[in-house]
Amino acid sequence: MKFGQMSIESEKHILKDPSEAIEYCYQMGWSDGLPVIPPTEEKVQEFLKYVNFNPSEVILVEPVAGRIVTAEKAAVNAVMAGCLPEYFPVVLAALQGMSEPDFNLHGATLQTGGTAVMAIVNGPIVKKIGLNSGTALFCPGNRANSTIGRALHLVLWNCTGNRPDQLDMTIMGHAGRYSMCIAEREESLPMQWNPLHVERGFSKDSSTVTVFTALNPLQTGYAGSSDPKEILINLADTLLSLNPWHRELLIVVSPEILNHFSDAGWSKEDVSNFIFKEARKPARDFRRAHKFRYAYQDHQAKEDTMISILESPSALQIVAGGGEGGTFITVVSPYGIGIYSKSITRKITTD
Amino acid sequence: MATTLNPMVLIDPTVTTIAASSDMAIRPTNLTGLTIGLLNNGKAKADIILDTAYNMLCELYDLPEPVRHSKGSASQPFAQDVIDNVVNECRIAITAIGD
Repeated sequence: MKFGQMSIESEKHILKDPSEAIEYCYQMGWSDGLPVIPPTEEKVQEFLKYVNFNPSEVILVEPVAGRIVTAEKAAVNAVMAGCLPEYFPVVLAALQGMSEPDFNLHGATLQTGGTAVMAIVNGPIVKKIGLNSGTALFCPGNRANSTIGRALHLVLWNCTGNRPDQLDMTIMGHAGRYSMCIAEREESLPMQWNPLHVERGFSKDSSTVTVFTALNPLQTGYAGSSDPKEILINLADTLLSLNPWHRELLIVVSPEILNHFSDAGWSKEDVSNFIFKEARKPARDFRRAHKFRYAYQDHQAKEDTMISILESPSALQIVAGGGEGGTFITVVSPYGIGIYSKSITRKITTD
Repeated sequence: MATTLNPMVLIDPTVTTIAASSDMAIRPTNLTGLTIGLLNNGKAKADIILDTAYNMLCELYDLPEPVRHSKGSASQPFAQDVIDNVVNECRIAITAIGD
C-alpha cells in the first residue's frame, strides 16, 4: 500500500534556520549530548515512505510505563541520529526486537547495570548499506554503524524514559549507550560455521538484526600461539572474572583467530564445549567474590565444586568480526547473564 | 543579495506518558487480624527488610501469617495473577527492594 503525504501527528516546532534548530534540540533535551540532525517534516516523510509504513503503526511498546513508539516517532529519532532512509528498515526491525517480551525492554534498558542495546546485523543488507564488519569494528567512523546504533538509543532517550531525569537508574553505564552496532564478518567464518542468523533459524540470504543487552565490552587476545586450545585458555581466564552460569554470552572473534580454528578443524561446538569445560573455578572463589548474584541454580554448592561461566556450551554466542592482522576476542556479557533479557533476532523487511 | 530562509518545521521526537489517576486506598487504623502481603522485588536482602517490618508490626498487632511473593527479576513487574492474589487475599501490602 502506497501512501502520499503521510499524516504526521506529532507536535511541530517552528525554527528559523538550521543553526537555531540544532540548538533548540539541545534546549529541549532531545540530544544524547552530541548534535542531532534537526528532524524536519520533509526528512521524516522521506523515511516513512522508504519503508512504506503508516506513521501511526506501532513499532515498540514499553509496557511498564505504557509508552508507545510509532513508526513516526522512530523515523524522527532515526533522522536525528543521522541515518539515511535505507538504514531505517534495520532500525525498525531492531526496535521490534526490543519490544518482544523476552527482551524485557524495561529491565534491559533502565536497570542500574547500565547496559546498552547492541545491534548485530547479518545478511545481504550489510553490504547494501555499507555496514562495517571489519577494522575498528566497535569504533567511530562508519555512518551506518554509528547512526543505526544511535537511533535505537535516541528512541530510548526520547520515547521510553531512558534518561537520568526520568526512569534511568544507571549507576555507571558505558559509551555503547551512544551507539553499539556491528555487522558480522560472515566471509571470515570457517567453512561449516554458520553466521549468527543462520544459527537462529534464518536463511543465509535473509537480512536480520539481533538486539542484545550489552554490558561494557571486554577485550582479550593471545598472539603467542595458533593452537586453539592455547587461544581459548587465554579467553577462559578472562571469562573467569564474570558471574557464573551465563545463559547467553557473546564473543566477537577476529579473523586471524578464526583462521586458526579453521586450520585446526575446530567447529563452533568444539569452541563452545572447550570454554564450557575450561572457564570454570571452584564455588568458593565465586562465593568469596559475591558472584552468585544471579544464581538460579543451587548456589549452596560445596566449596570445591567446579562451576562454569556458562550454563551450557550453547550459551556461548560466537560472532565473526574485526580487522585482520590481530588476534583479539571481544566479550560482551548481557544484563542479568541472559536470565532477565534474551537476545532477539528479527528479519529486516525492506519491501 | 540577501536570501530569506524558509522556517524549519521540526517534528517532536518525544513520547510522554499520561499519568494514571487513582485514589489512595483507605488506610486501616488497626491492623489486628488483617492479612499482610510481603512483596519481595527479588534482590538480595529484600526478604530481611520485609521480615523485619512484619515482625515489628507483630509486636504491635495480632497478625495472621503473611502472604509472601517474590519477583523472579527485579526489573519486571509482578505477574497479574500475583497482583490479583494480593488484592484478593491481603488488606495491606509491603514492598521492599534490597541490594
